[in-house]
Amino acid sequence: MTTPDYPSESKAYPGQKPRPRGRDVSRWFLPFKRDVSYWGFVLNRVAGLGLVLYLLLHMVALSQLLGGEAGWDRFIDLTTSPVFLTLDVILLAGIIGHGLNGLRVALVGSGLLVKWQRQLFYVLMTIAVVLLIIGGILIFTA
Amino acid sequence: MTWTVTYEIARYKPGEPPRTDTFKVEIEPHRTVLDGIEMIWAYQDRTLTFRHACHHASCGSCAFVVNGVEVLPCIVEIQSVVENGGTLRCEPLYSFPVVSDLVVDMGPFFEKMRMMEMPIITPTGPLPQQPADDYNRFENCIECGMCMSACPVVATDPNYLGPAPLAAAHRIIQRPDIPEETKQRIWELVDSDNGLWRCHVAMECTAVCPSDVDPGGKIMDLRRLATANRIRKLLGLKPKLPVGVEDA
Repeated sequence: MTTPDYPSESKAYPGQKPRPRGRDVSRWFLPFKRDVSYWGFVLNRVAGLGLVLYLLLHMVALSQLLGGEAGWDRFIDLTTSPVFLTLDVILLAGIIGHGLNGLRVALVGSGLLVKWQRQLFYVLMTIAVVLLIIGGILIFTA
Repeated sequence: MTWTVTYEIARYKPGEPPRTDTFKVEIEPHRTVLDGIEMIWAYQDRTLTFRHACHHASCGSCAFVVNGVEVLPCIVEIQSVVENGGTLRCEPLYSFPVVSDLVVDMGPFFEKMRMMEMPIITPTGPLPQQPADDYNRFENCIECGMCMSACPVVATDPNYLGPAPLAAAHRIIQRPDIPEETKQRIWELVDSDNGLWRCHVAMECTAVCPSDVDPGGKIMDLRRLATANRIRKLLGLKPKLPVGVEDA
């Protein structure tokens, strides 16, 4: 399918060359003054990109195995530090938020619960916060 | 009682770099944002360009962005946006090419609406032989372009059909007076990479729509039709799409 290209000259204003706006990626991350669904969109973008970054870091972490048992043990010691555990909580927030919000997007995107999608967002995010608190406690205490 | 408000207006003239101009306006708080713009044009800067016509939200021509959100400034009161002494940051609609100041080129958008068989005016034969509906259509969508501006997917993908054209397609494929071949062509446009599957459910189109067209809801309904049809096909059941439409 083809959609019309943006013309270099305006048909409505002959002789005028409109200033093109370009692709504005910042709009993926600026939900301020927007509807709650837009916040959901931004949440999924940020969490999704964060999870991709985590997967890359995970590969780097696994590469510590190449350093032998001693190197791996040093790395494991590092993972039990409070800073690392805090990063674990952030990771958990990303997984839960992206997963539950993704469930909303999948349902609404299939034409289900469209009228209740805002309420669905609030309910799922409440569940996400509860799960995150439980998970955070377990990460720091278990 | 009058308020003093500041208009920060994004300015652009062909051949000049974009800039922001600031204007102080003394205005009653119940007057509209467009009233303030017209006062600036009348008393402070005759070079300010903006679109307007009906002043009652039926033409959709004056839409622009105020403090980060798309509005029809002809019906938005100053007091609903700012306090006394506040600032209104006015920008042209996002994602549209800028012709001059707050005037954007609606051409590419109208072209997409035309592809959906929803042009503003339908040219047909001489007036006396044709019913009025063949010349003008009066649907809820006023083609203001606010949904296109608010959509974060349109912002990064100009090939995406966008909310208003997809809502138009939703209307067209269910109308009994549209020829089946037209409906089929539109369905193939809609059920494609640049069509309904490009939407990421931000639903801001529905939030900003001044006519309650609910473009987001219409896109989701199209998806429900397409998804249900694919599942039925998978199960070997008869397709169930609107009359005149078959799966591509």
